[in-house]
Amino acid sequence: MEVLERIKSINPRIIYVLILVVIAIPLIKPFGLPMMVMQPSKDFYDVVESLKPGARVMISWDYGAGSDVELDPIAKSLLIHLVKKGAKIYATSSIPDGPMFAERSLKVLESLNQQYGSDYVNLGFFAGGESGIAAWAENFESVFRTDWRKTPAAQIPMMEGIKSAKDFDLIVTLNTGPGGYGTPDVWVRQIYVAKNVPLAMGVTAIMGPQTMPYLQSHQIAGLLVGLRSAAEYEALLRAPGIATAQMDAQSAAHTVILILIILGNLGHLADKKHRRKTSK
Amino acid sequence: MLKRTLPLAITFIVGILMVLDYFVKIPSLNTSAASIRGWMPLVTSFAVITGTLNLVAVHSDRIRHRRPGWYNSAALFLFLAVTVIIGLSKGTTAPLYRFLYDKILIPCGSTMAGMTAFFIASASYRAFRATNADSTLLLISAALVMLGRVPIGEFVSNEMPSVAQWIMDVPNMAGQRVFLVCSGIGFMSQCLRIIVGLNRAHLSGNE
Amino acid sequence: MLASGMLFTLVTLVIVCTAILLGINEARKGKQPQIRPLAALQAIDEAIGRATEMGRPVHFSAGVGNLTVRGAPVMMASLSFLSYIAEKSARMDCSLIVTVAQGDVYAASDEVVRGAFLRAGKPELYQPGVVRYLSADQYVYAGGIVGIINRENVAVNIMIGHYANEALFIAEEAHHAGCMQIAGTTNEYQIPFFVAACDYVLLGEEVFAAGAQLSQEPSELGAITGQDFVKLFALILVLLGSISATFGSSFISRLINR
Repeated sequence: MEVLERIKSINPRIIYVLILVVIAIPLIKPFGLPMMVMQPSKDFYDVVESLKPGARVMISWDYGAGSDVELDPIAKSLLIHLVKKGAKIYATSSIPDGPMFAERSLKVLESLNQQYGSDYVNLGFFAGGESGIAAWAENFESVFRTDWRKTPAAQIPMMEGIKSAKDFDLIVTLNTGPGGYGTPDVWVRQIYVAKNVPLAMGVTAIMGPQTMPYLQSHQIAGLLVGLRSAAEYEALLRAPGIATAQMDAQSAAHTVILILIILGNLGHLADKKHRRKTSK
Repeated sequence: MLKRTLPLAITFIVGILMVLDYFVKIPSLNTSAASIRGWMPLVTSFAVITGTLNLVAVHSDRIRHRRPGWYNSAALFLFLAVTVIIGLSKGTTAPLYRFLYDKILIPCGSTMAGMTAFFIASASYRAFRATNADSTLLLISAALVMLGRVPIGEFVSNEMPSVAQWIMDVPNMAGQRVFLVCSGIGFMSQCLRIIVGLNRAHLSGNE
Repeated sequence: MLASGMLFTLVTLVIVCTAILLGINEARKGKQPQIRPLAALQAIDEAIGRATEMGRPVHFSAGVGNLTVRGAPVMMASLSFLSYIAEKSARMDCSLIVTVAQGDVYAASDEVVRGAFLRAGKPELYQPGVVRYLSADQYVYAGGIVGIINRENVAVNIMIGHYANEALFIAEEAHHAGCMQIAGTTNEYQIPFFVAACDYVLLGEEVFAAGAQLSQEPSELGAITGQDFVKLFALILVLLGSISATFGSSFISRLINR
């Protein structure tokens, strides 16, 4: 009984060490647990799958350091899938750090023999958050005059014919809900509502519940949520990668947290019983 | 007049212009709105300068008075200077600037984000207690979602992912929608009050 | 002239604005709504009193949002809280630390604190170090706050504004530092973290309602009445939409898309 009462208030440092250990083990040696592919991931996959060769797809890297662990795997799988479909990729970002993450992800295209300027381009950061999106959605040239490497847009072959958001077949935001920049609601408002252009999203796990209503109301065509969806996307592409490996670590961490919650409750019950006894 | 009426007038005109720009297609109006949007980065850049000046004032004061941890402020100045000099002289696409970003800022940011896992563990251990019917319900649904979102849930039962998805799609969604609608209405109300000049909190702290 | 598919949105906007302005008008005539007492709000006075007794500072943060784009309304509401807290702290001679993440919020917060200290009759309390700009990067900002909380022995941590992933980081660290915590945000996905780690939480639109309660300003209180009418309108629309969809009609969805 005394042990249970002590469990009620475990030192947080013990919890931290426990979490560190259970996350580290599967990352070093994955268990390879099987995983089911859920419908939202299948829907997202189908949206990309339905693109015709030469389709223009804009991807916005609306995340910075910290969220890259969850969103980089989504970006990588999406880029591989788009190359398979023969799509033209236009990278951008509503946050200042985004273009550097885009650049990191776009490296995968070099290994797939894609040519910068004719198959993909990094347009860099656009300022103004919602106002910025509204500006290029209406008049692309007014915002994107050069790419991130400062090459004038007129000298980039794949920029020809892009006048507004309506010239894209799909716009995807990889989003971490950056305060003050292009958050999911902003994209829905300016791209789907105002321009009626197909919009899809990849978001961090924590943002899943918040963005799910847009999927159910069909305001977004597809939604990938966190590492789980990234792993499912890898499974659909038959290319297991980093997300698949990290799912084992997440499994282990969730299990430990659940055990801790159970222990906390047992301690709480024991404490309650003890108090009742002493009050008698 | 300059301190109060002018900002209120600018807010009103710009606010109405932006609302109209969203709804109507009048070339001259849309162009004006686009120009104003173009000014925004400039305005925010000035605000960053103001913030940075404050940063310099606060930290130079710490160094001057040798307050505890003053050497951290010195390190801040060193890195601030290095980043600004490299950024301005070589540009943000230069390999040296990228090195600072990729090898220092990103790992630090990822470490901070990673620490959330530890805090989630300690916070949920403390907060998820079955003290009454409501909290018990919350506890059970949280446990089911946590299991259903990872492969180990499928290991326990094949139905686990579907149960978790149902909790997310139905009861959770209902709550999220209520939040979205109510917060949205609150947002609109606040915006309206700002545009018509009824909310002046940003001007002097007086409503 | 009207952009396609915008008719319903425009009509809704007109209804919302009319309802809110009518509510404000009624409140100005003296018909002010009764707002249920919010525990978090009542806790603010208690918290400042507690910090004063302990001789330790109160920390206020408005989060990572700015005043121009997303989160702007909640940031504006946050400034109302700051105004109240700064005035109260000055009156009680309690030390206040305000940390901000955005340049424009810094400029506004500085002005708000200066004004509040002046109203409390203690302009001399205003120092450049009261309002501190930390960084626009969420994690650098969070790290800065945690450092301040620990180094300066903060007794009360108040976080009302726009928060993202840094919310739990700050709240949990402040909890371990022994701070009494009051938080509020309209960011749905951060609310659970605040609930888990803080003593009092303002949920979603409660932030706006609490702002009205604090100021007792008719324009704010009246807006709450207007908002309730808009909620009723939204509820009727949801019900009609659900019923029509159940019977296979797409009338409401077609209406919304007009």
